[in-house]
Amino acid sequence: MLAAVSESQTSNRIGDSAASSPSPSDGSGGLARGQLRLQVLWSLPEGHQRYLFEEVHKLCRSHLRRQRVPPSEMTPEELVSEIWQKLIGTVSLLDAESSDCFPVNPREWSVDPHAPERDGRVVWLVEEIGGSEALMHRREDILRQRYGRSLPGGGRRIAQLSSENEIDPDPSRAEPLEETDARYVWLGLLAAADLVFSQNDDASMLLRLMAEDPDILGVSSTGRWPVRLIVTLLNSRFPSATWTDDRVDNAKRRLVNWISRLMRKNRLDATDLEALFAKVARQQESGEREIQIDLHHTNLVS
Amino acid sequence: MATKQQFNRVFVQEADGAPKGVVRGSLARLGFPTFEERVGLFLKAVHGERNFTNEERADTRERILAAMAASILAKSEAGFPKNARVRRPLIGAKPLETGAIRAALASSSQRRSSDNADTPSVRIILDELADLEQLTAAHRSNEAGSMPAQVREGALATSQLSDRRQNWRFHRGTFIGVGAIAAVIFIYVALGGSWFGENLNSTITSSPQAESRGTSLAAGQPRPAEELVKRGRELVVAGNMSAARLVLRQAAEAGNASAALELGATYDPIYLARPSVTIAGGGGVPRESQTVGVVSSELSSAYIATARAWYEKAKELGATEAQERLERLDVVEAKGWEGGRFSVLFQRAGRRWRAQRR
Repeated sequence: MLAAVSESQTSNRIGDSAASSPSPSDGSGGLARGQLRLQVLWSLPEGHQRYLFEEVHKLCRSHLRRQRVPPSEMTPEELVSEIWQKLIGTVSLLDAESSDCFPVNPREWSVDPHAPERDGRVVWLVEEIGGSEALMHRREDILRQRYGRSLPGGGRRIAQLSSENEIDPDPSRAEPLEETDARYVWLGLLAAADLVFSQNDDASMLLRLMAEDPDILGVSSTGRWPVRLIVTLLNSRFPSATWTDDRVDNAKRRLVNWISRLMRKNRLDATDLEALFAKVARQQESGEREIQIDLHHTNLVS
Repeated sequence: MATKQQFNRVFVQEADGAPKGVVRGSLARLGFPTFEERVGLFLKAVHGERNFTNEERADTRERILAAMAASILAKSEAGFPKNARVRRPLIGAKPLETGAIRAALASSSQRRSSDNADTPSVRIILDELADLEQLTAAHRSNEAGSMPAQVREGALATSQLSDRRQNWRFHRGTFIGVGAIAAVIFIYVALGGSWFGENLNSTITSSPQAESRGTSLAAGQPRPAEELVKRGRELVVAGNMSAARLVLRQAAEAGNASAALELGATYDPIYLARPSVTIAGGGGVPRESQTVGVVSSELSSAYIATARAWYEKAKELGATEAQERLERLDVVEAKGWEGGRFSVLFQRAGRRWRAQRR
């Protein structure tokens, strides 16, 4: 019954969602598609949204019935939640993503403000998220959250359940909450920046330096960047490149502009952004822990 | 590590004052909802039009945040950014030289009985070395700009590269682990020790975690197992079963029998359903049981199997009570209880949890 959905090594089970949506040809196209879905959903009038929500409910119910999935295994509400959680949780990191690869041209859609069933945007969204394949993927996502990835020979590894482990990574650490939060925010920022800037990029090197060395930012009480100090530290830490004031300034400007665009595009305020970065770090850590659990469990049962 | 205020001051405040660029593309006018609007959208999509409690909103915020974070992490899994690259191993700038480890293994095998050469530990290391060598070769060719053609071309290539990245990520910990193992091997070989295989086992199970924690979190010195067990018990009593599991697991992995026993209990439905167990935090009780009151038979089976695995481990480590608990599970199963029947116990625990919450 579940074998129809192929197991992709790349699908993300690090956190509460997964990237297993069908994409046209490559990963970036699929991700851009996710953004488009959210943007289109948000552009719909309320009546159209209501119609879409009801349609998705119906499709989920009929899908589970057709697949003979008992409510004890999965309810339509769970499937509906998973669909919307994935769609609404889409984030644009910009820079690394290009709108050129959008699979459709929204200008070609017919827009009917009175009849949602004839509105091209609604029809497209229903096809995108309510299709049989998409629903199978969301079901697979839910099952992975509960039991982990399916094994090559069928069935699933019996492992510690990931959804139970979303907690403070090490409660025995006697670290003040504020410091823990800050650490996660920086780690999350580093993880996100790593997706946009290559490791050898000036911006990335600058960010790593600042995240690891708190003294740099504490030096200036005026809020200005201690560029000279940063230049010295970067030259000693990354001797392969010659750092100058201009170069640091340029890297700083790119970083700040990226964060600015990130906030603006995703319409996040400072608190949201910090919470998001902290969550990214926690999920990344949780993913690493799952790998350790897998390793451990393999040893345990072998 | 810099503080939160510093992060805020340096980036967020400056970002607010940054020049407002233009979002390019034909979809520029189609914006994203704000975070609070996302929350409202989700609630309406799932529950329909009604008033929502603060608690529902808080839960949804957490959920959306998790989904957004997963969306970011998914980008790295999907081969982002454009210049896909295999990460460097964390230990040193150069890839691990596995030849030295192989040589050490070979010489130690010759110096010992032939049985030792075939121990599972040695086989595991040899298998891992083969994988690591393959990955190292891929890493080197990538750095030299000579990534195999199929990696760069087409969707299949993207998928293969992503798989490799996934494997690389998996093996990142292993690299560190094998590094530690190599160090141990060299010391043992130098000392001419005769207990090679036996100790290697414990190294394999403990090193990757310890090393990984050290690199990712810059954690301090590991705590003694007894202290972890004590902390784990406190967390169980407090109802924070998830945290308790994490702490107890560390102690169990360090070879503490009590920890393994108590860790198994946190997955044991018979234990969880006991009225004396505190579940104020909802931990330990399957999430399905907390929300919809139904636990699938598959989930119940997973819990029971995990409980069994830890009880077995506890038994192996010398906990006499473990045998009794295993027999208790056997007895209940012999009565014809399957995973689905066990779910009754979880449901009972879930009902209690919901009642406590109210």
